[in-house]
Amino acid sequence: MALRNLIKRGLATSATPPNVKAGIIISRTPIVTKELSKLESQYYEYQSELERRLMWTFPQYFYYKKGTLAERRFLALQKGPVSKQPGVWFPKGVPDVRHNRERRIKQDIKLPSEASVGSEGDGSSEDLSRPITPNSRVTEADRKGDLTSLERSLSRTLYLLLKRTNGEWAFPSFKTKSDHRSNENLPLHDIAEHGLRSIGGENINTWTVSRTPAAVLADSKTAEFFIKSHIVAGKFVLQNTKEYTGFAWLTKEEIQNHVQKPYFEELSCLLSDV
Amino acid sequence: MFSKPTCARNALRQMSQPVTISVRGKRTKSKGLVSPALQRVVTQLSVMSAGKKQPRMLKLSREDLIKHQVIQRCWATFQQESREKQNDQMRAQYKSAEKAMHMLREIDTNLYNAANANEAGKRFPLEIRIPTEHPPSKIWNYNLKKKT
Amino acid sequence: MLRRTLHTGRISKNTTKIWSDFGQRPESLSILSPAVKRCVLQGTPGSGPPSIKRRFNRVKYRSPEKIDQVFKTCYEFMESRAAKKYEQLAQETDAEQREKLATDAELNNPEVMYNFEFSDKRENNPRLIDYEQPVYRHLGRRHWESYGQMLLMQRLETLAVIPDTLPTLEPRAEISVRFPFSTGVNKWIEPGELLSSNVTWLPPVIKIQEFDQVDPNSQLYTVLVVNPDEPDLTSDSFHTVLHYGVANVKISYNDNVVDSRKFDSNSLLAEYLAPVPEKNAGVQRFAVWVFRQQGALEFKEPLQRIGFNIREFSRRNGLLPVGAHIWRSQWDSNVPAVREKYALPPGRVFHRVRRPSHL
Repeated sequence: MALRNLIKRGLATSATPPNVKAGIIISRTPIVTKELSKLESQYYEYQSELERRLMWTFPQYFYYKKGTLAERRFLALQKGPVSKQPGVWFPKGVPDVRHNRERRIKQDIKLPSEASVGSEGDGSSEDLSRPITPNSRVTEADRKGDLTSLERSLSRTLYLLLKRTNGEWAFPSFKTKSDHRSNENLPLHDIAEHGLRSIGGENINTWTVSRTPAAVLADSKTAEFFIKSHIVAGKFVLQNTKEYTGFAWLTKEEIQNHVQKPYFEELSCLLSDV
Repeated sequence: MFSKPTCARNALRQMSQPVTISVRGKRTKSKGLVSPALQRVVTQLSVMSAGKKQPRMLKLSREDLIKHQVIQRCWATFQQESREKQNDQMRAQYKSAEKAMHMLREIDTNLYNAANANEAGKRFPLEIRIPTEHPPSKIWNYNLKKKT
Repeated sequence: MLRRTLHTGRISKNTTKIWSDFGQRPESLSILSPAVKRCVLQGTPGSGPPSIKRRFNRVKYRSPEKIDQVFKTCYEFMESRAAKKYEQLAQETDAEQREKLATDAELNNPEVMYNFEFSDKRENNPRLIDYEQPVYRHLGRRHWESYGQMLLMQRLETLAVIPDTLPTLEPRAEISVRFPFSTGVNKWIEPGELLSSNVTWLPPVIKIQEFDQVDPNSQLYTVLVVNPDEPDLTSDSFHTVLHYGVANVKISYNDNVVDSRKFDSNSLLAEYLAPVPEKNAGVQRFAVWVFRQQGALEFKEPLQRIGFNIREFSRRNGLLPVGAHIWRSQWDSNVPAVREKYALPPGRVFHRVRRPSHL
């Protein structure tokens, strides 16, 4: 077995590329849900309208005890249905009201505000009754077009790309130091992670998906293996290296515009469309 | 169904209005001769009866039925296409990883064995967030210091 | 007229709207009524959907909310997918694949769906359901397989027409049978129905609906009606009687009722012999078999009606059974009148035979 391996390695060194590089495809997973297409959003709206039409009458007696102030507030907000009157012509059909609900159409329910009577909301974070305003899905980095920010394109997966001194963009990749005794036994994913910290600073937390390389780019001299990883916390700060002049966090489509066509085609299957 | 009044001021105005309660006086209408216990049973039964709470059956005109069918088929086609696209991508990813491993075995057995080592017990990091509809107030944790 | 001008106007603007380019498309792929068509494609008008006839109900009707907006998006989506199918169709040469592509391209067209769903599928109006179109053939086959075909096979098997007449049947064409209205029953006969002799005294009308891709100009059919339950006293058994036989029938996809226009007198194998079951002979089965021929057949001598061997006949002539039907008859008080009309001898009357007891 050992002999066979030896022969194989001997053969391999003569025929296959001797230089192994460990690349790392490091991604920032989406922070907000993906943008819905027109079809999706319209279909969801349609389905929710159908559901409302087919919904059973709102069990008001379950949520509001009879005779309480809460019930009174709730009832004051509701716009009651038109009830059937003898001798009245209803062009849109005779009303069919049960439990204060028009059964032929959806029930429109308004909920009273949670605010307690008399307290004036000042909008401070201590005021529990302040209205909820969700944060914007578009951030400052999007508006500025800052490609190096981790806060851009929150709904997409971003990948770290580095700019070499010759102006080419590529995923970070690092040479294995085969001559160095201590690094001889380091696996690919360790080389990639150490390399990332050597060019991006130590204050970065990553999670490597697997030790197995996800792809290889090989030519006659080098074979570049790619390890997939996620950034969990921390920041990539480009250290002073001679090799790289810049970095960017890019989506799949932006990567396509930055890198060479064959490079992208080889690796596009590893990149998420969302 | 639940549409909250967006303007809080509006809601407050409603709340601050004096609630008109008719002063309890002499009953003008008799409640009937039903005992309170029996009345409770009647109320509960009427509350539980499904027929009164159900909406009317949805009847579609011929045109709307066809429209609905087209919409559902379109959705099924859309789902199928996205599923196929995803499956194709996964297949390509598998092939890519397989190719990389074959090449790695040719080049360096040590690296190959290290890459192929068992990863049992590996945990998903707790810090990774699930995407939400809107971003949190602090979007990203930059102040990470390497543990020494 | 208005519709046509509307369409041509739209085509000149956008050529990708393949479902509305009626320059080359057959008329049957469009909804006939302009009002309904407008309602489906451009949204329900304020006066309500035109398919509801009474004004009272039309005004009362409420469409599901947002259906028109989402339908518009979905229509464009499905149309773009259909356009891809038409592109493939233009390059495809294999007939079977072409049929499939042509079907898939129109299967989700709301106008086709409307036409097929809401018009008569058996007595089809070719302006609405044109079985020459692959998509309507596909829909028709699916409709038939969902009920009619299963019912037919169940009746053929429980009544033992299979294997009493032919060994088995792989159904490919829908066969419908009815009798002229003057005989009293004005409807298509359900397989296995028990009919009175008053109903069956005139030749039946047989409709052969093909769903396969065949060449209507060259394909010929043979129709046989046989009764396998004629008592045979000499062998204490039954033999088969041929009641009706027609060969070399040429039909098309839409005009497919077997009548005298479809065959000449040379092709009439056996004139129609009305079912005249004899008294106490029990219920008799009348099996209709329809075969595809390999070519034109020629018959020099008349066929022997009594003791007709249908298996031998179909094997010798290379006939492929594609469809069948069955009705049943028994003696009733009208049978003598039918016999008189056809100048037949009075029928036998069977009695129970008392045999000496074994005990």
